[in-house]
Amino acid sequence: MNAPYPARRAAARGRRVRPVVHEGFLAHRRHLWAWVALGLSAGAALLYAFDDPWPRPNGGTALGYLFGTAGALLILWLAALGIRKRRFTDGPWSLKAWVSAHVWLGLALVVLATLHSGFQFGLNVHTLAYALMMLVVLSGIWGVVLYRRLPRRLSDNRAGISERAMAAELADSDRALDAAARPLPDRVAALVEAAIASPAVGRSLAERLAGRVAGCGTARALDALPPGDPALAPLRALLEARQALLVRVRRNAQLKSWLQVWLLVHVPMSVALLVALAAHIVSVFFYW
Amino acid sequence: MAARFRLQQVSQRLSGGEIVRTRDLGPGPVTVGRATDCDVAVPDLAVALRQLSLAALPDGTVLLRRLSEAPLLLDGQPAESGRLPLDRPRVLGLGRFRLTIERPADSSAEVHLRLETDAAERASAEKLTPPVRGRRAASWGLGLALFLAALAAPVAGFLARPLPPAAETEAALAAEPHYRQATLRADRAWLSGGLSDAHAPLVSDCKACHQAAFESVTDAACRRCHISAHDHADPSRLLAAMAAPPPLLAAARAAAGLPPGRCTACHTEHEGPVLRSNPATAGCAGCHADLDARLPDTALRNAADWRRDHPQFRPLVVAGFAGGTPRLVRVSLDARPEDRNGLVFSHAQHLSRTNAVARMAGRLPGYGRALGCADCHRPESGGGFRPIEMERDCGACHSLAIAVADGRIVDLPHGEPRRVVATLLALAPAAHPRPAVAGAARRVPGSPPPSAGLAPSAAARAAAPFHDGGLCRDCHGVSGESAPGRLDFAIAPVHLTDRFYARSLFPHDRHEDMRCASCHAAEMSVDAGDLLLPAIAICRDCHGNARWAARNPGAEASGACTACHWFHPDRRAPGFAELEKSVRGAQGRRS
Repeated sequence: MNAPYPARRAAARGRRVRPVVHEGFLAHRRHLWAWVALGLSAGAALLYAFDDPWPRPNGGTALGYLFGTAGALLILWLAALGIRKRRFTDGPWSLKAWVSAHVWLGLALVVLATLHSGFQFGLNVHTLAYALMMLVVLSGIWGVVLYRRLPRRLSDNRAGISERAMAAELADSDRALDAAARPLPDRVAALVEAAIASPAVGRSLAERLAGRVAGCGTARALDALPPGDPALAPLRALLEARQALLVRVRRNAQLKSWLQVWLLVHVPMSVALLVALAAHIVSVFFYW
Repeated sequence: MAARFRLQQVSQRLSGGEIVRTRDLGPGPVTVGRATDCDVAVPDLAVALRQLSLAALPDGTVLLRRLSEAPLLLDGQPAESGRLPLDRPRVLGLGRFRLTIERPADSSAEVHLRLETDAAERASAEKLTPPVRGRRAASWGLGLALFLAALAAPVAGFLARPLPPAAETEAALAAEPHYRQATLRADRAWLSGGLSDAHAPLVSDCKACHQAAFESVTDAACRRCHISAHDHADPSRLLAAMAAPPPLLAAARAAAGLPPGRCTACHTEHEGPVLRSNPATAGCAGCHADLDARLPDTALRNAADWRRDHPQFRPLVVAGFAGGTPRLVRVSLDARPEDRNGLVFSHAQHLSRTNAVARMAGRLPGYGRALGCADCHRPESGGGFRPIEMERDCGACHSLAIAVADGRIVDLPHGEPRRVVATLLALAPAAHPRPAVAGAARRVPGSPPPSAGLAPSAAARAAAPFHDGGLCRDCHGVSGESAPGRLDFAIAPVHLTDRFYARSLFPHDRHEDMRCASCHAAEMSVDAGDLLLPAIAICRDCHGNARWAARNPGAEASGACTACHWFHPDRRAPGFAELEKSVRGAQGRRS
């Protein structure tokens, strides 16, 4: 019997099969990693509450070293997602499980690092590492929120059309406009040429995030062509269809840019955090 | 004859490679433009319907004529109408197309036109959603900048700086400090917390204390400035007295360069303006809870905790006299020791508010009321009392004035029985010694001596103060003559203890809000031998008592060891000289 999928294979053997329901990375395995993170945070807080070090809690007490070591190892593991995400696998240590743990343990890190600091902050490399860590975590939370909201809007906007299909549609529009404008006077041809040549999505990231294109050629051509001229009516129809397509293309680019732009904070801040963490650890033991 | 034009139209194959279509255009002139009826039709909206014409001239050149105002590029430059020599291929830019005009090497009768484009199909899917770039560049930039500022610069600065110079004495140190005030240094970013006020000038000179990389601050670094810091005890005995930590912890500390007994084990810096030493009694109890187990020959009793496990106080009391020297012994207050100091004295009598003493004091200038503690025990700065001096503290009432001779009051010399006898023998008979009768009224200084009845003999006069009821016997024990008439009276030796405790200094000035009687039951004492020191329970009423602290907010009565004891004794500390001798001796043995 040729049954390539495990579920089908199991069904063929007469076993009960769990229906395949999509489970997001946050809820992965019934929030397993949320519970782990909560337990870790609560345990650390309990230890901190019952510790009475002299002269006051900081990173240099026994508990401080414990929290610091755990936090540093956790940061290294969290940063390793950058390597791990490039290999897509499934199973108990699937990428989804890894991301789930990354998000929840990243939140637990805030508790761990704050207790490690003993609530002592200053203008120094130690607090810099803490601040960078908080930036990384906050940008990560932002990313999670974006990933919870935007993919649905993205697919709504695409309305079942793939990006490749959109690109093909746009290329068709280019060719149709080109053909339609070729016999027309040079002034009209120049407008159409500008419309075809002007970028479909914004050149700068800011434009793409705003979903706008400065000096859109299509809009200009529509403005410049006299609406009443029957000789230009087919061209206008083509340009209007192109305009509608561009709205969708730009919305698509906008959503995809938002899905990535948080990483522009998250990733460089993570790298900065790793360096600041190294400076923090080295400085502490250098000037022991 | 003019040459013929031949057009080669090149298009890109999807799978790579090119397709070339060749067409003969005749002798020309040929038109070039967007319109399909041009000889060379260029399918690009950037090209005019009729852009230009080319005509071959007999001299072998080509005449270019522009038919439109649309911009035209020739070999990358804006082109105008005119002759084109074909000594080399000429390239016209037409939108995204290139039109190359050249004369083939093998034929002078043809002009080849080659129309081609290398513009790829635009609007690929990638162009519609360009990826957000810059993560890598930002990461490298930030990471590198941080590495330089937070790691490389401080380490380089540390390596480049020499160690601070050493000073021989504290005076030299004060004249020229070890630390170097400096402008901002890169390792300032490493400062984990503010320095104490005492060490604040060192803030820009980390190397003053952190002298070697990856090494905890050593005692030697502290001693560069703290030249005369005193050891708690002979260092070898100190180490022997310490309870050994668990082997694993000891090994870890040894590996980390954290030897036991180091300065920084107690003194933690970078914790704010006040440099405090670790007050945890565990620090003291670590050794003193079971000191005798590790130092069997110690004279100290074990003490684990002030409230629960501290020995009763053991003051130094006078047990007796050997010759004139007091024999001092330490006896626990639990044994209710007596301080046989040699005096005859009743605190109760002197502190009474109603008796003859009180009335006498009430009449005396400078007193004017019944006696109080401070009338005899005069406080001095530093929390102690001046030693009792007979003339100053007792003499106002217990006057030694014996006569008036030549208009001057004659005082008996206190503490010198032989001179007392000599003084009395030398007095003129007219002078009237004080009647040596018990119960006689005591004189106020300056009043004339009362007249006596019969004038006794000179020897009897000289012996009178030493007999029962005599002046000396008010306060002292007196031993009689070795033989009658020899007048060699002796006063019993007296030793008034200045410091009862060998290991602690009681700061009376810090207890001045309290009444003396709350600790010292002097009003009840009728015997000079009564030891009026409070026992440990009295101190515990307040010190380390949480309920007392709750009732007295703002007041402080610490239960810490250092409230009464020194860790680093200085000159004020009882037993300091003795300790210094033992530490010096130990250092001498080592060197």
